[in-house]
Amino acid sequence: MINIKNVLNKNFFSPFVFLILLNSCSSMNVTEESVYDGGIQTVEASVKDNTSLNYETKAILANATVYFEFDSFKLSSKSIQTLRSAVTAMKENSSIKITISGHADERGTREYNLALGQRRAESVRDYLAVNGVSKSRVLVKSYGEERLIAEGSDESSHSKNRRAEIN
Amino acid sequence: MKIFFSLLFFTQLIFSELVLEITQGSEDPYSIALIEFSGSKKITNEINSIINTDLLRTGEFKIFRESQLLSIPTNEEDIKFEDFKLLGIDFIITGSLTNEDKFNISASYQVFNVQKEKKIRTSKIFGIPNKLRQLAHYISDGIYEEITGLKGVASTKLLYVTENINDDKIIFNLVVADSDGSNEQILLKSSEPIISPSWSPDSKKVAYVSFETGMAKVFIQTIATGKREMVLENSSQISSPSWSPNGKFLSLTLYQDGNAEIYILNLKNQNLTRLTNHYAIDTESSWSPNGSKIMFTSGRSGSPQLYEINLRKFSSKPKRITFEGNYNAKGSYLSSGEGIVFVHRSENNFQIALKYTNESFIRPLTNSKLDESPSISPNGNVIIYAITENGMSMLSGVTLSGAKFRLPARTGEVREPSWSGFLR
Amino acid sequence: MQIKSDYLIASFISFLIHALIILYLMDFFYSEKKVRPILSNPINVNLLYKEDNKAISKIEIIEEKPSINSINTIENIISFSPKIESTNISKLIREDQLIKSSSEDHQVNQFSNMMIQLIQSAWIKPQNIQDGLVCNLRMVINKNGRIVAVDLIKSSGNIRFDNSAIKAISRVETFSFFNEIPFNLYQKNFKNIVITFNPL
Repeated sequence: MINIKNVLNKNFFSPFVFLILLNSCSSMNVTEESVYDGGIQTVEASVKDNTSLNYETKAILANATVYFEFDSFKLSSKSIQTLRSAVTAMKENSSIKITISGHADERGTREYNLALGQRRAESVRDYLAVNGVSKSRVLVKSYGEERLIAEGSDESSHSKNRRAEIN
Repeated sequence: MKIFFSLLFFTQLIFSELVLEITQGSEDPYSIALIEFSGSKKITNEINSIINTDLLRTGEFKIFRESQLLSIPTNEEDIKFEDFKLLGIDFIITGSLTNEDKFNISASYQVFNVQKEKKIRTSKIFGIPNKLRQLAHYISDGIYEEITGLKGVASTKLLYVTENINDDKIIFNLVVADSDGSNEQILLKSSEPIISPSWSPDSKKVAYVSFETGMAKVFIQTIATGKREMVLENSSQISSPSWSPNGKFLSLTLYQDGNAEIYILNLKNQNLTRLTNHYAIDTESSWSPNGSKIMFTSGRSGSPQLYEINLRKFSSKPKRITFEGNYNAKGSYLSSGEGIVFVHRSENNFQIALKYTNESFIRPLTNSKLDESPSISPNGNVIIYAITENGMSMLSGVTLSGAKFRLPARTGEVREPSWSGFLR
Repeated sequence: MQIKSDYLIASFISFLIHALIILYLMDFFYSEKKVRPILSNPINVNLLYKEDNKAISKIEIIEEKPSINSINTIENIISFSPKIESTNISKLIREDQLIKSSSEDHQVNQFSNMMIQLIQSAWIKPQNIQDGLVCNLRMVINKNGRIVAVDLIKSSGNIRFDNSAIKAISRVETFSFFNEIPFNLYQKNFKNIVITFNPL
């Protein structure tokens, strides 16, 4: 009985163990662990590691998040101030590459928010480009409303979510 | 060993199963008496309860079970119609199930019109013992069609995304289930978000957006085999997939031009045709039932509104079709082509609304605060969407006649529903 | 002797008068008219439905009609009477028929309106239905007012709308005032009716 229990426990966690192992490998492979269940196959997605970061860059740009108004991708003067330090950091270390991810608050439709997040990230990239940071050093992507930082339904939570982050 | 494996996955499936709650019927339901089917109790109990739930969910019926009746007929000939007229019952359903052999079950059911005092339908169906649900749904559809004249959707499928926390890790599942949220089967498990799932017109494939590669990419997956492929692998971010009615094209949103633009991909030869060319956001494309038009959400007027472009007219310009309110998005066409369903912001609430083509005003269908991703049933009568309550999202449904139901998950959250077409 | 014969004659005449009265009350003198053919022409009864305050005005219009008709009939009678001396029998018969048919029309209108009222109050308008939908139903009604059959003869194109019309008729079930309708009027106008559901 004990043997069976052990086996049970092991197998219960095996899919997750597998996932974790895959993550640390940073591979692009999509593995297909199929489970046949009455004509439908379940697929597990292996998640690609985020681009590994230069620790120096992290330290310099740790606070580089800019915020936006509802349904807008315009940079406020406060945002521009924040970005000035990012520009200097990028210019000093010409080898650094960054990723800008754009986000939106949970209101509205997901796809529109995905596009909005993208526009916000692009606003930041455009500002950097205008100030001498080559676009080739900047990767831009959007998470829309899929990576909320603040969980509430009030305006203060919403405003925290309408952001572009530099990593 | 195999039993343990199957038990494991069984428990995992129960984990996020949806629970159907019917919260409101339509104002003017038919009264029907559902007589318990005759046959082996084990099977008939399950079939009766599934038919009962299916019919209740349409919102069109007030159901009388045996305990509420004045007399229970044992066979066709001895139905005392007077007893049913007294209770105001319009129709009687009877049926029986027989095990033809180990591998076949046959079900027959009859519908009687109480006013006319006669049988109006009798049908016989064959099924398999371990596909009882399918058989019951088929019977429910037959009963619904006979009484209302509308095609039933109990036999159709739902596609949706669930989000659960397992040991401090977030797991997203892309799930296929029966129209009542039962019989869940997981198509994709991922630790990164999955959004915008969409059925192919033949209901054999699904397209969806997955963040597993680090950014939004569209995948097409064949349901039966699990085989999947990434769409336009060499491009950057892609999202918002929508199949053309003939299954040959996929409209997509690409971000390579510096802002979201809509393209059409020819699935056979991988040719990409650009549809929109405007510096504002253009996304959430969806095809008209005859494939001649595409509707999409665009921010070009200053706020998200719905636009329509005619594919058959060379160099036709997008035409704006929503003018009420400052946020109208995620539109989809009714299968009759008579109107559209979309997300509409009224004051500070995001609701699902209906607009008929020949009317100028919007009809709100829901009245909560954060409604999104509406999807219309293939018979055009039910709209399923996601609502957020107490910070948790769940599925909810509303019929055109005002009946309402909910499909919350037992644990975790569920969102992004998509209704399949008719499967037969 | 004379007095006795007077009494005899008086009592005889009194007997005659009483007998006549009794026989009249017992319908001795009523002769049934020829039976009209059973298959009558369906008449068109328009059901007009309008929401809220507008509904009231519609009802008023309907009610005004009968009174106008009745005024007409009275006028007819008044206008005809001075001419009686100068007309011949066929003209008189024609006039008689005119009066009867206009009062018949009046009655038909009256009963139709009662039917419309009943059906209107039994109708639940389906939600999320477009305006301008129209469907036609045929009803077969027996002498007691019981709706024996309802059939959809022309769909509005929207199944839910059609269903709501049929449900309304089924809910009414019986027009209890049919007992007041004279038999020949019923035969001619109310046995087989086509209703147009036409909400505005």
